[in-house]
Amino acid sequence: MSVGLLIAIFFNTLLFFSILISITIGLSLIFGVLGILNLAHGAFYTLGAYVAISLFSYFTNVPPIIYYILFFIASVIVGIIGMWIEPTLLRRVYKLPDEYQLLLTFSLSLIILDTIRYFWGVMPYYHYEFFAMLGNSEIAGTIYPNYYFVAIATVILLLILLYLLLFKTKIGLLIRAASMDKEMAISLGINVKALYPLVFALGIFLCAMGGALTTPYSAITLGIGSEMTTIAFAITAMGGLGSLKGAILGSLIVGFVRALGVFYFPEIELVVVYIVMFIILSIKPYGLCGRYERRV
Amino acid sequence: MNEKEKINRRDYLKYTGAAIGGLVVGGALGYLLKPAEVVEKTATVTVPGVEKTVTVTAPGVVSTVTVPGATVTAPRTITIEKPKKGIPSEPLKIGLTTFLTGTAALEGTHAEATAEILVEEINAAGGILGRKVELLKVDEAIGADALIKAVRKLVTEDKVEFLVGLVSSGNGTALAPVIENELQVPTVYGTATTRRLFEEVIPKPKFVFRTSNYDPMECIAAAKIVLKYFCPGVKRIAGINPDYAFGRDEWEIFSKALMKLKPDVEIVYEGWAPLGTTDFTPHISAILASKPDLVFTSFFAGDLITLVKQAGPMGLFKATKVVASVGGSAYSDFKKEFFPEGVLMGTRQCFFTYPPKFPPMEEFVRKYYARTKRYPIYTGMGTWHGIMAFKTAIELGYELLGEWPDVNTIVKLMERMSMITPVGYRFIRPDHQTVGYQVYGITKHVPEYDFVVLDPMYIYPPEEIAPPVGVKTLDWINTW
Repeated sequence: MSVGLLIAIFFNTLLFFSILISITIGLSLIFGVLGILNLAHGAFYTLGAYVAISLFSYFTNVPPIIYYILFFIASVIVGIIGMWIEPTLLRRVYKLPDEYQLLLTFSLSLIILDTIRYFWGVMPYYHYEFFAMLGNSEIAGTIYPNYYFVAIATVILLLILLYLLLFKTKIGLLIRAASMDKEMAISLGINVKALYPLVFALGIFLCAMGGALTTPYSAITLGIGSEMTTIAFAITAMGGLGSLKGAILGSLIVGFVRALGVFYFPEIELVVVYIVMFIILSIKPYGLCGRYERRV
Repeated sequence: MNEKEKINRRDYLKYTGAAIGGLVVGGALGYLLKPAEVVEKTATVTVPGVEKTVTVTAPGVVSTVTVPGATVTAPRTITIEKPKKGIPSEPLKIGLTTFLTGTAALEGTHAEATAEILVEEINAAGGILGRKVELLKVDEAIGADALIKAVRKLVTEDKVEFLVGLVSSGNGTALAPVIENELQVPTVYGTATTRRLFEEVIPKPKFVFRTSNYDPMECIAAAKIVLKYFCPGVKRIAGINPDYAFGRDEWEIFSKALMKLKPDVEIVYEGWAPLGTTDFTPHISAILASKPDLVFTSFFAGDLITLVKQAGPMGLFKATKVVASVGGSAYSDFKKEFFPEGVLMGTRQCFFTYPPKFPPMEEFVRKYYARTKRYPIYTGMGTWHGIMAFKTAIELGYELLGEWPDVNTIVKLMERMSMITPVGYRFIRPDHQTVGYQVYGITKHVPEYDFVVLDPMYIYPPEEIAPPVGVKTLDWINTW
């Protein structure tokens, strides 16, 4: 195996991981704290991409940093929408049986996608300038667009910030407590409900960022969320529902298996992800880092 | 000026009055003879400086109104269709099935826009034998099962008399047996180009037709163009195709045809990705590592844009030649800023500059662009051809039989029908597959357009690339 090939597999893994983790970590965070399996996650990812590309279209011939800031603005906008949706919609179903959550979040996903269709139409959007202006690098004979390094670095930066938020701040402590044992947290006087909009918005912000980061290199259409959502749910199951460590581990495994699979067994590359999931779940039915006691 | 206008107006009113009088008398007679129908006509009569709209409601009268202009006399003929024998009075409903949402809407909305333009024109000219045409739409994105239910409702409850459109091969093959055995309504697939439709699913079709060129034609044409013009010395080929029946078929036909024509060709990479893939990077790295002379892709519309955007910076187009067999799915969206020159691109039977200087195409492109700000593609052309074939069959049937033809007559008349379409002369074969020219070309940047155009173009006649009637594609390739 050549060095160039190894490097290609390494960066392809990291790139796919970056997009996947931005979706799965929010999914896990929301499930861990709110106890909701958010089927609308893919729709928020799509919305993030559309908002970003719309913002991009207002700027031409600006320095790359402006585009970079627009990623954050787009994701914050979608995050704010999430913060508004939690108290207005989701809060109504916490006490109802689980299937109501699924119905609600699934309907929410349809509503979001139809809203996108209404405002943006069905034509694909694409933005090329940012991707092109950053140029390419050549590493051991392999050409790699510099934008990919930007995307990977951004997600890793966000993961570090998330770690600091969760493990080094008071509010992070509360979120972790609520995630670990909700009843105990409530009985200790933590206002768990006050955390809900914040956590939901944080999860949505991260997945909108995933969508926004794809805009420079992918055509943006209504369908972009579907493939990612399916894989994201597989990863969440693989890593353990609600586990952040599991989400990171699962995303890395899937990113790596896919990057490797494309080279060595392209015919079954798409199935490989699910074969890995099958193996993991048959050995550890609650996922790599799943905790049995939460959803008895 | 004032005086002239007065005279004109007076004359105008006089003639109009006479005409309406005539119409009323004739109308009364017509009413007595055949009371069931009222044909309403709106005619806009323009006199320089004055515009009048005259609405005349009366059956069974042909009347000429002459309107004198300011300086010239402009005759206007208002023809009121005589109610014809055995023609149903209710509007003629046509069901349009196409992708209105999702990634494939990029293709599907072309079928929608074309059908709307055509139906408006038909209605403006008095409908089909005087029957107004109504378009009922169903979104194909709902999936095959739901689509079958929706189409069943269209036919049984809404009384749709003709079905047209259909883009997805998956939907097409699922729906075909239902149409043939149960619904028995004339149906034209405007796209749904899988060879399996008439080779395996319904080998003896009665009601289902397809007006688009189909997969074997574009794959075999690609193989021949590659060997003759594009990359004659090709030895190592790679494929990156959509991971479902269509993508698998395209790659199978293309690679088999190419290897049959040049046996020393070997496959060095076969990649598959689902529709809606956002990240092709691993595939592109893998293709580059396998060092092919030629890459074949049947990705289309938005997915092709994504693939090309990512492949360009990674140097794919410099390292190898690329064939995009279904580039025609969205060519006016392939902007020069990211779509390179030198790609061999297939556009099925439709590209806006072909046939060159062909009046039906020039006229259609002008109308289409004015309305949609896009250029027509094959999904629209297939739909256009479908509706016109149906209309022609009805009119022919009426001429021959003197009454509204039944479904069996309509489908018999559509079989073997040839037609002048905006994309040239096209012929529906006895096996219900339509054939015509297959258009390929090499992408080029020109100052007049912000998207890539084809120059040079390679046009293949059907007899060189379409399997003969009754012969399956792969069997035909094996006989070469």
